[in-house]
Amino acid sequence: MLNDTLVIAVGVLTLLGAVVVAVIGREPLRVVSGLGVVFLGLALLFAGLGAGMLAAAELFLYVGGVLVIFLFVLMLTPSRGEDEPGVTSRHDSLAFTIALGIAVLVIIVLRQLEPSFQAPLPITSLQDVAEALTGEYLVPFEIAGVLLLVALVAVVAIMRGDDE
Amino acid sequence: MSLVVIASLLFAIGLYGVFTRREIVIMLACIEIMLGAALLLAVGLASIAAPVPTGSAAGGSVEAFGLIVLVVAAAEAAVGMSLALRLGRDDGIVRSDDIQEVQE
Repeated sequence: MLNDTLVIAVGVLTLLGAVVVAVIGREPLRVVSGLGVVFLGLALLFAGLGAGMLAAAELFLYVGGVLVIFLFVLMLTPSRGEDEPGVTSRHDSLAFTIALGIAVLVIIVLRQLEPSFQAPLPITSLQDVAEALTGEYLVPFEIAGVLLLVALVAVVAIMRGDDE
Repeated sequence: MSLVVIASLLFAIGLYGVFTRREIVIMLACIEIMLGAALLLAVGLASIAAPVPTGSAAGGSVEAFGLIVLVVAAAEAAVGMSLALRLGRDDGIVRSDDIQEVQE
């Protein structure tokens, strides 16, 4: 199921989208487009790994929901002047070193798993996922539901603010 | 191996963005990228940690775990976005540096 060339192609596309968001993106539409490419790439990689349900959830939840919220927020908040550079930190080189160091560290640590890494996940049905959610993962599933409710109340409270 | 490299670089790019960008919304987007990279690595490594036969219930647990992580990430994004929107709309704050100035 996992074609290595295809994984690399989708992965490079995803990385390019991430670079647009994190490094060179200035205009809201470019940032949202880059983020969309990242989410789509992640969904394709999940599908390539055999996690079809997760790929669909990534598409519906992120591309259909979170991305639209990002677009709305970027459009509704005031933007900075066009003359400002995208990256304005004084610690660019230090940040680059730390980020690259972490990436190299993860790659070195996980390198030993290389021979068996291309084994795809077993094909699962919705029934398998539902059984896992209502069985082994029942408590985390309930906690996630409560967390969503708390987040909903928090969003309402934040947006109402001191209006009263 | 290619997936490990992709996920690691994706995480590193997100981390670099969080460190260097000052716009609150873009910092949130970078955090989402980091979460996605971590989830990709977790799902990718799941096939190594516990190889299971096709059709078994254990296969569903990988996706169930991923779905719960997605829900938590979406909740985080919703709260972060509402904070960013409130700060931008009411106080005109779009950069994290300006929050410090308001506190002072």
